[in-house]
Amino acid sequence: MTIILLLFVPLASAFSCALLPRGRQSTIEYLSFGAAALELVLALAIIRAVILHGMLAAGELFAVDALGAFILLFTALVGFAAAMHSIGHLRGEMHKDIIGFSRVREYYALFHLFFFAMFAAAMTASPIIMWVAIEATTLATAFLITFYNKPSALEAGWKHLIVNSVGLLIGFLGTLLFLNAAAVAGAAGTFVSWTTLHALSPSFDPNLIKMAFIFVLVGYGTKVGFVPMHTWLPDAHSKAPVPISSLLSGVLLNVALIAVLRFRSVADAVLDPSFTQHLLILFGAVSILLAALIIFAQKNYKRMLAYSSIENMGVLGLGFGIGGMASVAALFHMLYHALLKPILFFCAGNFFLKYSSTRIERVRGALTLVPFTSIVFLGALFSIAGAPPSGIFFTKLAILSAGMRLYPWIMMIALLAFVIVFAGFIKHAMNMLFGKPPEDIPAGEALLRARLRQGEAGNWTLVSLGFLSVIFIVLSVWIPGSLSALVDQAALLIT
Amino acid sequence: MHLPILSLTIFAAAVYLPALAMNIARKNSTLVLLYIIQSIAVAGALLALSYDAGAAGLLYAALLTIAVKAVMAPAFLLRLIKRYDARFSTASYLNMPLSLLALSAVTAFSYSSVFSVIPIFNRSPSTPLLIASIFSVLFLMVNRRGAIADIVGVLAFENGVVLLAAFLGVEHSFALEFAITFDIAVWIAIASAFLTMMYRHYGAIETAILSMTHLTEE
Repeated sequence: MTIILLLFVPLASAFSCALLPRGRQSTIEYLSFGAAALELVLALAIIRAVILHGMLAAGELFAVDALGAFILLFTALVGFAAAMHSIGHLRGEMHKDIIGFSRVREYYALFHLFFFAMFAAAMTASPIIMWVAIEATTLATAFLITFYNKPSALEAGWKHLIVNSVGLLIGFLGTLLFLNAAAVAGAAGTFVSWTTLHALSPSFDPNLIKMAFIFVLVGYGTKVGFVPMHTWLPDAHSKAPVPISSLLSGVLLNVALIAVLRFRSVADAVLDPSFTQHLLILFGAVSILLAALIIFAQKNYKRMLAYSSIENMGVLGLGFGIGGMASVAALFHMLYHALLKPILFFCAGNFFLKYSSTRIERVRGALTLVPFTSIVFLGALFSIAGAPPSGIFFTKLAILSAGMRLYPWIMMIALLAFVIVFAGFIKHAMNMLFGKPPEDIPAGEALLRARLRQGEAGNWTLVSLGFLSVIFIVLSVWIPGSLSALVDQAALLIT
Repeated sequence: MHLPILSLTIFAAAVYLPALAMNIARKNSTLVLLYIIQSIAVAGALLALSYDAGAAGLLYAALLTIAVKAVMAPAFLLRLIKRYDARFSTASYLNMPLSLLALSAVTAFSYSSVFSVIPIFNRSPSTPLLIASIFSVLFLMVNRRGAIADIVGVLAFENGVVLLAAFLGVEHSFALEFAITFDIAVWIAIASAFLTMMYRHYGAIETAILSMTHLTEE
């Protein structure tokens, strides 16, 4: 029942938002906020049930295991924060005459559809429904990327649509090959679940599974943003409204990666695990290196954050590729990245509202103009680069340590790339935060509010930042026993 | 599956040849026509498989394929071609001789040992043809600069995948088939909306005009 409710709430919210008439902007905003809060509560209830019983099912099609519950945790948390931030950010853009009411209505309808698709992907027991749901995320986000209706946004949206659709069709082919292996092995009926695939995996043809996994990795890897299939990601993430960028980066990439990992665990039962291990490490290492070099030379702070997502997906590729303790570290890395990247995108949104530009050279003296946002941005940049005591420091250290024995050269290259990323972030942050601010922009974050309606945009955009920052800081220094147990259970499912 | 190998090969050829011809066609309406032929071939193959296996799911899938891929999608695309006067799609990155060479290479690759080591791919000569059709439309999307070619390419790619899955014996329930087809229908609607936006911005529906300079301008 809870699972069905968690699917129903975003779907009902999407239709409600789409149908509300002009002049009901506050209703749409509070409806969205309420829906996101309810989704968070439902997700926590599901996670609790999974921790207690190992799995929660709703009919044949939906069953949440520890991995699904783990995904739900940060999807719902980031969703709640993004719903909060959306209110402030969109109000800010309306007051700057960037968008109008119909755009706001369209935004919230698609926002909830996006969540419906992500929740479905996380909770389904079927590889085919997972594919349908992930494809649905592409469709739901296509118009969110072209939200500002500019030529650059149109180009980004078109690239996103075509590249991801082709990628996901390749992933679909891989999925069908896995299902064919199950059919040949004697799967009964038309419904094949992850459990069925695991149970029948000893009888699968290894050559078929090798090919199927390559298709799955390339296909879903396109959605994850692995290099060289990443071409859509920096454009889409930098052109979407910031709350959507935060969801694309912090949540959606992980949902797609989980699809790869679920197939990988089936493939590892059939093949020598070194096959999938080498592929994941290769894609991971190349992604880290390329992203690091581009981050250093980047001129646009939203694109810088998008490339940081590619780098972090590369770290996850390395961690899950190495396996064992590195998989546990990679799961924590996934959680920390999911919390930090929205913080960074939210800050980017606040910079944009202040400076009306996403170019690094046009943002000067931010520490004077928007001090709270600047301090949070700097802290989050240091954290995501892996500076201690951030949780990411420990996860990167654990992954590198685990890999050093098996792949010392690759780990050294990854370490070098981390140093380049760190240097790049410091260089860009120094340019943005310090220096003489433009004289025509008034100082202080309160003025963000004063330019709008007193106490509106500033509060929502700052509270969302604070909410995720507090959770990230707490989880960096203290992991609750239940979360630790959930991660351990999830790691067992993918190793 | 008891269908004669010859019938399977004919259906596969009916999917492969239009895929090949799409790379040669210069008129957008011809691209759409080839896609209709391909979709009818897919629907025909699904009907034959449904009759052969007594599987109602495949019958519904065939009817959905006709409705969405042979009627709805082409109608959408032809209307857009007419509205935006996008009759020709001649711009490509490789010239015709090089394109044909590339197509020969991908077809040869489909018949190579990379695929033949897998027993199920050796079951009938139709499998390499379908793999070749998938690679051919992938090449179409990479080589052509027209947005219509991109859209038809994605849809033809999906045709190849669906038929390959059916030939390999992957069964779906009707609900799942419906979900997949619904997904495709929504995809077509969204892609059409993108073409409209592209035309409004640029006065043409060529992907080559989406210059990279736009992405770094702001």
